[in-house]
Amino acid sequence: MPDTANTKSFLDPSTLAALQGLELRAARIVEGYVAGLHRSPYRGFSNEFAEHREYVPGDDLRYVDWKVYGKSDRFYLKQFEEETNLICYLLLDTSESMQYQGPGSPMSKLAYAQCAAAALAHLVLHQRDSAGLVTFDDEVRDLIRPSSSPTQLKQLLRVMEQSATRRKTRTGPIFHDLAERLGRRGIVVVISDLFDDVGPLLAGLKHLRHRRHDVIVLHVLDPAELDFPFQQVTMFKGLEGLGDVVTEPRSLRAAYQKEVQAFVREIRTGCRTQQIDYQLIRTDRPLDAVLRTFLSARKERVK
Amino acid sequence: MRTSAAFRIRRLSMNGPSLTLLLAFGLGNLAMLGWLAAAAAPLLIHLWSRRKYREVPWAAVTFLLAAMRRTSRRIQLQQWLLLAVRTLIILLVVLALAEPYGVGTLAGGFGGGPAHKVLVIDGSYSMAYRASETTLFQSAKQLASQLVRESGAADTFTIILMGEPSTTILRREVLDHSAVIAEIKSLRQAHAGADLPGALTLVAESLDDRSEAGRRPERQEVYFFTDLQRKTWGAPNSRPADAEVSIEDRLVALAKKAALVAVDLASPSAQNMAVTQLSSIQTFVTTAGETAIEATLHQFGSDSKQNLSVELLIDDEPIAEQTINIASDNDAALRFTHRFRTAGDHTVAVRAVGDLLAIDNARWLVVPARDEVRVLCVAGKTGAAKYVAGALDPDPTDASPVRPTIVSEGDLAELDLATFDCVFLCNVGQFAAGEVDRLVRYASAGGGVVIFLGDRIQVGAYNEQASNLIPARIGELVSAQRFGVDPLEYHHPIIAPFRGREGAGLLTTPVTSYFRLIVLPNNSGAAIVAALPGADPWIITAPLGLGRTVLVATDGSLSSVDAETGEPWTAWPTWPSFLPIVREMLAYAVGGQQSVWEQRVGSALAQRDRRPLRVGQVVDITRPDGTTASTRVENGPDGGIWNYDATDLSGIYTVRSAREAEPQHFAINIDAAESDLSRVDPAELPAELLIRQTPRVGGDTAVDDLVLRSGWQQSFLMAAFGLLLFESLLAWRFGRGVL
Repeated sequence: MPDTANTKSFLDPSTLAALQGLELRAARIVEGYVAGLHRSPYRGFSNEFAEHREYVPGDDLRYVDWKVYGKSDRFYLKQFEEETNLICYLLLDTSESMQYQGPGSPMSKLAYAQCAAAALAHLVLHQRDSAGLVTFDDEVRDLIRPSSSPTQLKQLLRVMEQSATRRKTRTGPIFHDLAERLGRRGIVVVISDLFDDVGPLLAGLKHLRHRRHDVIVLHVLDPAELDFPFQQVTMFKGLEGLGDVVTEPRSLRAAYQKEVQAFVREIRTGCRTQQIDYQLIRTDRPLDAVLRTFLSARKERVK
Repeated sequence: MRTSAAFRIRRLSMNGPSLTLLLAFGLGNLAMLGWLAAAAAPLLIHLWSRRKYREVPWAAVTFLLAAMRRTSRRIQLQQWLLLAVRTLIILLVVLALAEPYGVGTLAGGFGGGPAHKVLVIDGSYSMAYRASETTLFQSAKQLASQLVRESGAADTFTIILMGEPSTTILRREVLDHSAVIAEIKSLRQAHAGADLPGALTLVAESLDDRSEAGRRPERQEVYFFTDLQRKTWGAPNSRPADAEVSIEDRLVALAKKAALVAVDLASPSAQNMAVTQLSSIQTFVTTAGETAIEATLHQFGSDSKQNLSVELLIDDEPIAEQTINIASDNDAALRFTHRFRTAGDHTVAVRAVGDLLAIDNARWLVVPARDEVRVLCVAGKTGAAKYVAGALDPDPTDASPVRPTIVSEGDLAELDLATFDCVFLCNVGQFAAGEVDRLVRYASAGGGVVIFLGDRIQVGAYNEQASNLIPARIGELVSAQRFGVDPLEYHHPIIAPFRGREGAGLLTTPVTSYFRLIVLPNNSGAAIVAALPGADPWIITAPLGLGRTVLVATDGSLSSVDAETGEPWTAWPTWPSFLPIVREMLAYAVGGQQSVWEQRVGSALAQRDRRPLRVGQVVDITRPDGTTASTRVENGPDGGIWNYDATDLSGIYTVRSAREAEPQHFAINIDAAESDLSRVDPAELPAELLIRQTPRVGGDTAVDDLVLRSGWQQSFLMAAFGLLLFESLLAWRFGRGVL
């Protein structure tokens, strides 16, 4: 079993950036997160036995099927019926704005979002829940229906890795569209920088809620977009065709930060109003916040 | 070369011409204004920096634009404010470097009103130093004139010439500036020093002068145009012996009434050579032999003088020349010899050429050459003067110029003493009525009197009647138990030739009987030549007016005899020391006349020879510069007398008291102390006296450098510094802590 310190470091984006491949990164993230917990994050157990799954370190030993062990010399846990019904929809923003990587950031927002999505997919699928993926910019680009099949993870990861970022963001109408298209209710995890009009955005999320989905918003922002650390005169070349701006950042810093904080506050308030879990994610912070948010939401739902 | 400019704006109040606001400012160093272009630097840097930027991709442009919309106006204002402050800082620093100042009224605030300016011009002869095309004195006059020219029309002036003595030339009631300038131009320099305490007294009086309206002007300024010579200004902290306060205290007191400026005209490294002394070795000069003339030169300063040519002129004719070297701050002595062919007054001059202060490069004497030295020997009894006369002229057939004439005591009253150079009173018992006065007058006029005391002396008569004549009181007659003379280290000129010649018989001179001589305490001029056993004075000398007296405690002959033993009082007349001592006494007694061979600048000239003068007669004087003056003969105690005291120049003054008469010459010399050009350290002078340096450019000196002004340089720099701190604060504030 890998040691805690090592595995925990895989939550650190700088360490993750050194790893090649989303699959590996996702596995490491989850490993690192799980190793830090006292108990397995995986779901609790109902009475109705559904199937076995292989034991992983950290699992509760009460649910080890000793009979199977006696027979096979391998550890298996009993899984119960209810949890197999969880469906997780991962909505990954692949617009051009997600391409931004600030000075001093180990990875771009998109790479970070991909890691988060991949980690969540890994976690979900490992529990034999279903996970699906939607990539979007100003349109839905890819939609992988949720499944718990063994090959689902690989497929999801492949789609994530291949997504190109060229277009603007247009979240509102897309959420509306997805609210209609997504079938069974489940947990919808939106991973995006949400650089779009707040009104339509919140309206879209509201629609998702209206369809009885549990929505988690992981608001991914680069530290530079929050702190605005620039010193000298800079030309800011706008992504998504927003134009270029030359300015002296030092004189603008306070005002800019106010604007960003107002934006974040508006979205947070809007989410809270809808009982949507909102988490602001800085791309220089470890990813355990991502997993923690998801798992607590999942617990709420399972209750 | 510095340039400066002053700018004046005059604005009349609406209430009438009496309220005139004079706004004047200036810049001491215009060249620095070239740096004003640097004030454009902040703007250029700002513009350049906006063209030089990094490019970064950015996703959150919307927020950036929103922030810019919100703050654009404020940011613009901030940037303009920072630019303005930075530009102002540079402007202030450049202006500070340009030495800004406020002129006149601004020095004391906006007071308005006319100023009273006291111009003190140093007239000591060191100001004749020719540093450039003009002398320092001429520069002082030019600067003072320029100052007057550029002053306000209502300004008044007092002119004081600092000399010996200092005098007020012009008082402030003269308002016409052209008249003031004319007075300045007419100032003449004397060949003397400068009395600074006297000048300060005159300055104080002029500052206390009140105008006709009874008011003192609001603004008073004192300008000293001087070379800050140590001899004049030095030791400002010490009190002169006759003063209650020091120079420094007086300047501080003056500074309470007026602003004080010292315009320093001299260069710090001035060198100067001066002829400091000129004399003849012999105390009397005759046509019988060569006369040795000795001159001393001194090199003041740190440089030495090489191959200096020094001339001897007799009666204005160059006679001889020598070349010498003088080490720095050292003397060099020269000796010339000359035989005067004719009797009468001869002018002797020694002149050196080749430095920038010419006044002290020459010195003069008027030497009376005579064919013979006439000595009157008055014998108190038969034979009393025989040995003395014999010592004076041992061989009457030879060419010795000394001509002794022996007379008896009774003939003294009929003789004209003025025809003799010296009188020897040999054992003269007492004096007839008026004789002592005659002898005193004779000595005072330069004659020599030598008195031998013998057995006919009436001590009481001498002590009571001749106390003005004799240099000591005559005590009791003493009989010596042993012989011997104490030469008192040969200090006195009469005895000095015996130094190193112990075998010449001085020390064994036999004196058996003598009078005890008591030098009176109030007679500071008396000197004991030598002493007898028991420390009793043997010979005493003393000056008397221009002449000298010599008193010998014993007889100069063998005719004084001890009543008891029948032995002569002394065998000295037969002793080897007698002849040389008598001749030395003659030389010494006559030597008093040497004091009239030259006099100092400022001394009064008076009739020297014995020709009769008519009261009211005009006496013409030709001065050393060729100009003439005249004076009148007035009634005096011995007939007509005249005197002339305007001897402000050194050189030969020639006086004619009658058209056909022989002219008389007088040599007037400087006091060479003024030749030391070393300067006082400005740090020793009180801070209340502002010292201004002037560029010494031929002709066009900058008076703007002198005009009193309050320097704003420090204020500008302080303001720039304050703005610098303010700019840092602003930059931090606008940049939220990032500079």
